[in-house]
Amino acid sequence: MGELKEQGPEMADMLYQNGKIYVVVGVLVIILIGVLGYLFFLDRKISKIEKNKI
Amino acid sequence: MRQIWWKILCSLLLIYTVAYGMITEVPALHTLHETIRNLFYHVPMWFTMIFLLLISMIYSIKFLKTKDLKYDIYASSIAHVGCFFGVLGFVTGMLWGQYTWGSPLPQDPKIIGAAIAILIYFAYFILRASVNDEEKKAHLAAAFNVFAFIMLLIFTGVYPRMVDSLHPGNGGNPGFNVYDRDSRLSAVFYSAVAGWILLGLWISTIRIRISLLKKDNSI
Repeated sequence: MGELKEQGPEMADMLYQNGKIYVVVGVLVIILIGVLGYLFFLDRKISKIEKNKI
Repeated sequence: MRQIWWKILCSLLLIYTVAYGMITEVPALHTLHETIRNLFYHVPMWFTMIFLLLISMIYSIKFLKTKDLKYDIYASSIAHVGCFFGVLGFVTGMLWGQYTWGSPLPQDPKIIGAAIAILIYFAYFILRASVNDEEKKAHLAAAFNVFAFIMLLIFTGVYPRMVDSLHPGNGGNPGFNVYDRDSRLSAVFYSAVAGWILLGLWISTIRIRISLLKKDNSI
């Protein structure tokens, strides 16, 4: 650990060795796809209401 | 759904930057460490806010020229979404500041300036809510919106550069061009800004369409 600190600021080397950061990235992507998908759904719903008006 | 391509582009940009921003290599910096990744998440909030509020002001000027109430709906809806992104920028900045500057709200001119600017926009919404006459409301709000955007530029763009600030690009601190030299950062950063701006515009169009439907219903 002492050697690491002398090389510069400590970054998430351990996290990358374990590789589990990708689990978090997966969770983020799933949430994002969910929210964006919901936005597409709402968009279509409003389009339908707009069509019914005319 | 009208013009779906830019909504798909927006989704792809956001998924790319949110995911890639977490796993891309970043320069090892003192104090910041891994939080430099917030450059991909916190900073685009402010860029989106300023972009949306600029568009909002343009629609306000258009309203003053044409007296078309449609433009008043555009301006207020976009300003709403712009302020929403401003609040997100503020809250994410507080969290970032807590762990790098040691305080969620340090005495920083950019933070104070941003707070004042957002409060001016809150005054814009209060003004809108307090006038019943549609025409009068639209006129007052449009004039106030132009004033509010100029104050926003002064409080977040001019004033922090005249005094010492913790933020990059202000008071002798190096600006974003330092990060620009690092192509790994700038590629993700500018894609993120584009993605979040498109998302802001998308949500704005939904707000506008709801307001227009409401208006049609009330007649």
